[in-house]
Amino acid sequence: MNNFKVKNPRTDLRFEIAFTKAYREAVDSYTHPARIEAACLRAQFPAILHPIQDEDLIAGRFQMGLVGLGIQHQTGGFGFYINEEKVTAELEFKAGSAQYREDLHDLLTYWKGRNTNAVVLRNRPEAIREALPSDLWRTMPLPASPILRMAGAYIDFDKLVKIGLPGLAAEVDGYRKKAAENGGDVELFEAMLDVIALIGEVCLHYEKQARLLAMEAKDEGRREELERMAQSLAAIQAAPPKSLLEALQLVWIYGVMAPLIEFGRLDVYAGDLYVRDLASGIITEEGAVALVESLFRLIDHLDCETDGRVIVGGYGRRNPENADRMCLVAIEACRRVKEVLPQFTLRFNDSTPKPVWDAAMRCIEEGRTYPLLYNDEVLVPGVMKAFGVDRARAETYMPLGCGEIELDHYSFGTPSGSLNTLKILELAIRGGYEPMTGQQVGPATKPLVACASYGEFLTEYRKHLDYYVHAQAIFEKYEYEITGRMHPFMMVTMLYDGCLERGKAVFNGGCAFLGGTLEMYGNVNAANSLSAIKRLVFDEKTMSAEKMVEAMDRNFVGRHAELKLMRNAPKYGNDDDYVDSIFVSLHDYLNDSIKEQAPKVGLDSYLGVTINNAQNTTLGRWVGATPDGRKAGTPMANANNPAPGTDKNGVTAMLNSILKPRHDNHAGMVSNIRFTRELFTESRGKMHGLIKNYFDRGAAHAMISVVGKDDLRNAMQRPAEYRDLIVRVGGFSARFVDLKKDVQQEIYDRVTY
Amino acid sequence: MTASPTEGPKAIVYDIQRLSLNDGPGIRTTVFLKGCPLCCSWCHNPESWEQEPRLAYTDALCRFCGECARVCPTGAHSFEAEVDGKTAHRLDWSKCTACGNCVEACPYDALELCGREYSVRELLNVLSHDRPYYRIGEGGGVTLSGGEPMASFGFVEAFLERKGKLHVCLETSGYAPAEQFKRIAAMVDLFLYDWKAAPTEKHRQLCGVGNELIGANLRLLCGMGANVLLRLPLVHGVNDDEEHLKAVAALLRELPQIKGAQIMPYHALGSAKESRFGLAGQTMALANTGDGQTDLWLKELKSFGAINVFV
Ligand code: SF4
Ligand code: SF4
Repeated sequence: MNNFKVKNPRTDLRFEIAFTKAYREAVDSYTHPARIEAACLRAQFPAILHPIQDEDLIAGRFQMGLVGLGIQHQTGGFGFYINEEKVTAELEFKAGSAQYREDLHDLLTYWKGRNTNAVVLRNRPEAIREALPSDLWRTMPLPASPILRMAGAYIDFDKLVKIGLPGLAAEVDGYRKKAAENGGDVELFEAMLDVIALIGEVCLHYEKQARLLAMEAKDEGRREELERMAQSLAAIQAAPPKSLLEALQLVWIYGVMAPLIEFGRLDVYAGDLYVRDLASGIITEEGAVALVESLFRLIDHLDCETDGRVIVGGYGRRNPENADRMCLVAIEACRRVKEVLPQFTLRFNDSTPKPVWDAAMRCIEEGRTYPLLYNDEVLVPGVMKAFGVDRARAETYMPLGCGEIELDHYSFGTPSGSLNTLKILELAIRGGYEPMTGQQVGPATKPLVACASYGEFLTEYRKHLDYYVHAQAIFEKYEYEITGRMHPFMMVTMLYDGCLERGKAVFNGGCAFLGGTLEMYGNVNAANSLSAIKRLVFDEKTMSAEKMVEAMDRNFVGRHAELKLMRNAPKYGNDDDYVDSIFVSLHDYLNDSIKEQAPKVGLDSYLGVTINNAQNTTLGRWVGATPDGRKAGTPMANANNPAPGTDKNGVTAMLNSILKPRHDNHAGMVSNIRFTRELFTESRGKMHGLIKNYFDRGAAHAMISVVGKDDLRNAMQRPAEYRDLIVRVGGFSARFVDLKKDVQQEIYDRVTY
Repeated sequence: MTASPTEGPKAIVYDIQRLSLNDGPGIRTTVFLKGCPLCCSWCHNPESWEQEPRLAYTDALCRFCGECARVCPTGAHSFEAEVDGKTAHRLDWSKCTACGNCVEACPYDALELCGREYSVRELLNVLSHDRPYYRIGEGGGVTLSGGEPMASFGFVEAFLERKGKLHVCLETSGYAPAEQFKRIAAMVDLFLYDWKAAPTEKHRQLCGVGNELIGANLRLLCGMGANVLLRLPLVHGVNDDEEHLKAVAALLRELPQIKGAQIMPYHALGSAKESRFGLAGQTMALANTGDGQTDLWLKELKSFGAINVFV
């Protein structure tokens, strides 16, 4: 759970106690989940809001409680949630009155069985209970685990900005009347109107606060800022936004209250008003950058480890010229706000203006890692095929979270699950025996030692993969269904295509396109392992399967010769077709079989993703030694990247390898590339050419880190993980880890930031 | 360099550097050939001097598993417990015959054999992976470097004959028979030609040989219409004296065909490599080029009338 970046975090759990009380009253008074949700939102706001801070040009800071109502674990939790660990810590380590402690005990026991997570898990279908015994992937060796959430809502911010709160209320009211006439779900619409009113109240709350602060402000400039803030908050209560400031203010307040963690196509929804403000002299370019900076700092204050996306650029924008001007403002803001969030994302294509591209390169070069780059020329056709949608729809693709793709305010894509394909290989090698727990799990198959050929073993491995893939798909569909019954998520529903027309909440028949994604981890190590098995056990017969398994069971202790052979087998990332083709076919096999699940379980799409986060490390912890020479518990490769230290043929070979997988049968695959800053700045033209070439050759994505001091220090401490890091030394380049400590130190000292 | 009847001449390659950005135009692959007739005191690559393979040991990667000691026929590896409880892995370089047994045995990449024989075909094969990158920008290609690539002349000539359209730079000290330069001049797209010290006694003192042959070959190449870029390795207090810089300026005026002169400021990498290759004491421990020094050199060279000098 995150820590929201607010100046004075709450120091006790009185909010949590009050929220619990409000929830109890709501379920006593209402039966309709929308009424209950509205009541809970009222318990949450303005209670969890925090004051405007000195650096804010836009109002809205908040801190979700340890108990509350949310959509995803990144902001508090999914549905009605409780953070038991922290509530327990409060009981164990903090003082409080007898009543306070009693209330804490009460809420712990009250929510234990009622929190959404528990309800969803408890009621999961019988058929998949064995395959998915738990969602505790952090602490248990699980081949597959559901990830409970409804993260990644990309609501229609453009519509919100166009019609404003009054327009939205009018629209909802229109549907309410229709529902009353046709016997529709009137209560749902009534509750929505209540929520819209609450949004207005929150605006009013901050409007008053801003006026007060303005009166107290000693600095003239700050007073004006606060007055403008107050005016904009007043304006959006009564009318659609008429300026950039009003638009961003409305988007932020709405987003905070939902609570959302993706902030849409900023250049589209803010572009027109920005250009209008410029023309009428209300704002300067510099002023706009400052506003967007404030928005970005607010997104960063969510402190969620993933997500926090802002998207700019790309096909499918209704106002490309204005949007491109806004794009430049946003990139400049991203360059200046040197925080982890937002995960600022540039979609680009052949018609992306050069100034936009150049600005993006400059931002990357300065070590921001942002913007993350997504290539429309590859992804639009890819999304058309993977999602089965037309070109216009595919042009609305949006990367979210750690790299999953969905369709702007149209599809939903991440209730999710994770699949640990390396763990599954570990099981398949032993015919389903789990050496860590000593249990038989999943299908019982022929172990490696009994397989006569590589093909035969691969078939056995696939049986295990299929088993978990199918279970995950069933879970995903089930999760939508049960969530739909429990949670209307009205703030998402109101701005998701088709929900109002259908008179249904987003997961209760409202959303037009219920997709799902399955996060795959361990594919690269699994492919490297298959390569070792194929080469050593079957092609060259230099090691028997028995010897290999024995060496792994011992975690290679005293088995150096075997370790050497296994480490020497071809590894992904060296442009070696022997293993690259194994990786590509494993990737395709998984993606294709995941995709095939959608019609079987009744989803509109179900697609694999290969994304960036810390699960490669966390899940790796529970995988024993593997045939690629990876030792027990050590991290697995991240996303579409070579396993640490295994790409020994330099950057060009690495890029050649990661260009091999296709991008039309999954919902996202990310690749990370790392250069030192000097390499980048001293040969700017060549490096830009290199990046362009990479995309021209069919790359879908790149996250380019220009390495700074921290990374160099890590490389000094953990050289095995940084064998690919090339640095500039004087007139030439060298592998950083090959340099002696004193030279490494000197280079480290030279990097000045 | 050895010749095999079927594969043609071979050479010992000790490193292949991808994404080379500073060894000629565009994005290049630099191929480092072993063997050099010079022994410049500031050399960055002392491991390249001799033509035979040499063992390389990266202490940061060693896990003290002891496999190397087990397989070494000469007892070059030994382990000692240190006072702080850590283990020290000692390598007695004088015993090592570079047989490669320990490299084969080391599971952690801590040991490598620096130098492996390549045929022209094998090398072209390896380079084929980088071809997409040679199209970038102004266009790149391959740079043959060393050591002194001309020390593997048979291989270099055979490589050039079979390279096709590949853009090839040859980085050379210029110290090779004139006849050899004549034979390849037309096939090399760009010579990166080192110009190290003047007068010849000083050159001899710093690099082990005089510079007459080098000067003559430079004029020969220019006369034949070859593309030449001068490279000026400069070490403060060693070879950045006025006499040398003036000689550089004079040379650039005398041979206007030369495309330019690139200053290569010294960095103390050679000395750091010593322990990795067991070459302690064989290169000078010199101070890194200080901030601003490169600009001073540039200014000085220009004041002597040098044209087209850059870093
Ligand atoms: S290469 Fe040298 S150290 Fe290694 S086994 Fe052979 S002789 Fe011993
Ligand atoms: S074999 Fe490698 S890792 Fe093991 S002690 Fe020798 S050098 Fe170190």
